[in-house]
Amino acid sequence: MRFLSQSLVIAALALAAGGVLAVAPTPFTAPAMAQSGARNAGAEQFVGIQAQRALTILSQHRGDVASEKRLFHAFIDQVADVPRITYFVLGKYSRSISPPQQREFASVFREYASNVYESRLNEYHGETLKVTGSVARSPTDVIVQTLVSGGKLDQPVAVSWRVIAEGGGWRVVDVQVDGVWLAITQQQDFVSTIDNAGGNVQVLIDQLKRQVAKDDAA
Amino acid sequence: MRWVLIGLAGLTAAACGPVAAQAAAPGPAPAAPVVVADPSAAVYDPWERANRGLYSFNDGLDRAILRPAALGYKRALPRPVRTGVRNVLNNIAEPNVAMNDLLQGRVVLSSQSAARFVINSTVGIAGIFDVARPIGLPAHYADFGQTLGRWGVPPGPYLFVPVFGPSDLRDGAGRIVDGFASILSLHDLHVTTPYRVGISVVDGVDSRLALDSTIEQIKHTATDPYATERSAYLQNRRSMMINSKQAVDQLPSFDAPPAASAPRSGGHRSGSN
Repeated sequence: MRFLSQSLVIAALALAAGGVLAVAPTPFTAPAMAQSGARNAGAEQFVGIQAQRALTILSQHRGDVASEKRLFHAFIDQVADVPRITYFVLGKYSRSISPPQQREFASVFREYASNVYESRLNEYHGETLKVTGSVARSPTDVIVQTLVSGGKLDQPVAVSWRVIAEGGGWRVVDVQVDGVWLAITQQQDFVSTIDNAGGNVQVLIDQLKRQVAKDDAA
Repeated sequence: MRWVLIGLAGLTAAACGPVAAQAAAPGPAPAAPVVVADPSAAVYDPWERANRGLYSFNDGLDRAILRPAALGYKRALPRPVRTGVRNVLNNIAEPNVAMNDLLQGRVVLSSQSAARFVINSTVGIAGIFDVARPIGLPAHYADFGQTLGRWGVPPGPYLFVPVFGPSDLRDGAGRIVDGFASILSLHDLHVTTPYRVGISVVDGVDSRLALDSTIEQIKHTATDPYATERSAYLQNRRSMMINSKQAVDQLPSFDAPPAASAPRSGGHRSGSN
């Protein structure tokens, strides 16, 4: 029963709170010789800079919940590739979803994901993050490996960040802790829900809406 | 116990073919990376209907007994005492870790684990204090399911076992072997059966407590908690058995969704499409 430690929370947290300051993305540089399996310095630098920013902000305390939430949304747009993640988590159903449903899903998924991460913002206890390496699937698709330590962690925890380069900058698309990728897990959750509704995406959308309404009321 | 036997039988049937094939041709890793376009292709859950039944049964059991017991345990004992209890339980399991490290050919890790056992059992007073960690011998984990995985045994069908939680045929079988290993090492320490049962109960309660925030988080946020736990379990176990290069090659593409297949006609069928 050792899978899924509290570290899952911390990874999401680091991603979530990472850039309450809006920043220009690190310029994307793909060396000509970069290939699958090689390290990618640009991607490592991007994760290192964003993580440092995240930890700086996490260690400060703000009173104003509403402005924190606004800054948080701005950050997500800056550092994470929200459209790509939104498309990915629908799995095979991203092919068949209608454009109006797609817009509806994108809107509710954003609220849902923000609520999940926001609820964890206060779980930071001074952990620090160090980039330890990277493995490239391609010059524009890189897994950056980091080690999170300190705070309330007994032992350092390995956290990997999947970053994709497009249009001149890197963006985070997934985070892995204890071998578990958050976006992949999210996809399997959503696809299973739609499968069990006989392929009706609206059932998932409605369920997420209820969830968001409940969280906002709480 | 019946689950375990079913697991063993199934494992033998399901796994022998592929294992034999892999064992016969170890060789270097294939040059072309295997790209699994759909991560849920890695989810093999042919008994989903039964598993979901056991899952909801377990949920009731958890709300009525398991979780209250875990929270009661937390209230009854201060954190340092619980840490000491956890250390003792981990120390009892340490010989099994060392054995499995060895079976996996990880000699350095195995000797670290053996050293931890000797130091913590003596200087650490029967394992209450983890004195080995601060001197550069951090704890690590190994079990027989993991060993089987590293030998090339595929996970087989996913299993949800009440009280124990997510598993699969391979890991279920591994758990029995781990159980026997634990009985043997406790036997050597002349621990009588009632105490062994007591140790298992405390182990279960403490494990449930350690997972409490994760379980509550999943129950609160997942649209399908069963599928989410299954996904997390299978990914976590898989990550223990392959190296990082393989793991990276086998990730799904973020831009090409898997081909649409027919949705379920209703009810719970397999999640492996």
